[in-house]
Amino acid sequence: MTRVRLLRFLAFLSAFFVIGSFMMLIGFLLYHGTPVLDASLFFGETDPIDAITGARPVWDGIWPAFAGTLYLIALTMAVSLIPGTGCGIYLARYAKGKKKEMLSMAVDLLASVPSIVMGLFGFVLILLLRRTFAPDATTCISLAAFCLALLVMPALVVTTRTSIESLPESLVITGTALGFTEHQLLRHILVPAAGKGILGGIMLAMGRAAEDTAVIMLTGVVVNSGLPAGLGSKFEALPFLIFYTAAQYVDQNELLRGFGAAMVLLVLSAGLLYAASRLQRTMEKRWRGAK
Amino acid sequence: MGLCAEIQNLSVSFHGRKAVSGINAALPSDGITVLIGRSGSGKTTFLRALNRLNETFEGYEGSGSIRLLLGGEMKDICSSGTLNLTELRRKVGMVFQTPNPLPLSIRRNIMLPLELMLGSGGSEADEKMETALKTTGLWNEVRDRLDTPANRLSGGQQQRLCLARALALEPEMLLLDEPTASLDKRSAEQIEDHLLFLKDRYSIVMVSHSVRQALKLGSYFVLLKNGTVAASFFKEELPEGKDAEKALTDLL
Repeated sequence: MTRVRLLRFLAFLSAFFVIGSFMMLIGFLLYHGTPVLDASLFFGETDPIDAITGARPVWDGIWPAFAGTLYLIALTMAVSLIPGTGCGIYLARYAKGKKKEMLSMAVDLLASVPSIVMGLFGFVLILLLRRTFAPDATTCISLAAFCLALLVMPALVVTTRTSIESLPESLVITGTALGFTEHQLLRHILVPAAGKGILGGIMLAMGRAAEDTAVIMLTGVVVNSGLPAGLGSKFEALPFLIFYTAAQYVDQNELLRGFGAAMVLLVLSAGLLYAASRLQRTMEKRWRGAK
Repeated sequence: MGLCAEIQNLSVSFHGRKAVSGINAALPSDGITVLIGRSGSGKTTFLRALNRLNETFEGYEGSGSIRLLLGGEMKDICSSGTLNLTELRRKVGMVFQTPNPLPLSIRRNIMLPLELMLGSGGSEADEKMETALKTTGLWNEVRDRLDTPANRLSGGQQQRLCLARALALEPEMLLLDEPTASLDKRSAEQIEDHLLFLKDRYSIVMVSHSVRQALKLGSYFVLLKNGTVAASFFKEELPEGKDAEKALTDLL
């Protein structure tokens, strides 16, 4: 009896620890970040419309970093979404025996590569390109997105694979007995039924792409470049801005701007999460046909 | 006597373990054929051979030839070319031991297979769904809640939905694997009555766990023992009345 009680108490304590740390973090950020959260944090002295359209540069606001991060997430997902989920589906439904073992080991190895190493890889890749057939190649947003994609791909693969594999076997048998082809089974039954799990992986990947600093530091992020001008240009990003500010701030205002940026990054991540789960719920409702 | 299925030298094993071997059988097209035997005797494997569902399970190996009455003629279902798997499984509908509605609404459970297999949509599909649900006596029970999740239905209703789903695809043959095993007595009787009603329209092959049910529904019996056919006989060959039950039990 006492052991049961003790276990319950420990479980409660652990839950409290998680919630408590989260609240402290949020509280800390809110306390420091909220006072500076206004238009000037984003755009400085520049007119917001001009800043958003890129008509005039922003000098002391976080808008370029904000836009850069959004751009980076979009590019990273564009590169990693289809190969990541596709590889997960392949592992869950098609791969057999030795091939399956080798592939899942490769994914596990990729997952264990530290992000700084991924950044170095990108950097070396550029050096290689410069010495061979693209002497003008330089670190840029598409290189950063490519390296980030490598970093987040394992999360996509693993979540897609496990959420499909953990579906009840009866779904496959039911679909097959009704005459569905493997493609129809995947498209109309298995992938939608595993939608929530797959979405979890996508959110994890997006979060990782939003917050990672090590990769982009070596692959093209800079302190001041304005809005990203194109796929081959340098860019700014929120996590790097926060990192840089924390290390190099000269006065109180600059430090506060760092807190503001951290707040914004948090809200951005939460917003993406919310949007993604809304989208998933709508799609699932349509699939289930239940009101 | 017309045949609905002719099985020659059928052997199936999983991971090297024989499930059935050397099965020869000719199933009549009239009335319900019931496969009987103890558990592990190969009834389900026999049944699943008829829509080639065994092949989707891991470690499958099989040989032999199976011909089914489809579209008015006996067709070899094992050799490729005569008809593809998808078409075979649509024409040979199956109902399982445990009700297996898809995790969708009642309507989508019938509509999704209809759309994918027959390409039907709109009011034509609505009609097919209504007919199928009426045939299994479910229409009046669910007509007002077609858009609620199918797994909220009772076990018996779910099983009738699964039967309706198979019927909506316009099959020519029905395979039933102990369709009432997981149901209470009343729901089981309901299903049995529907099967008696359906037997004139479809060739039906079923596995039954109960001697009582086998006698109520079956007109031809195939007794399996250790993966082979131990006996096959018509209902008329059994003694009349109460003795039939005893005779069949003794055989098992």
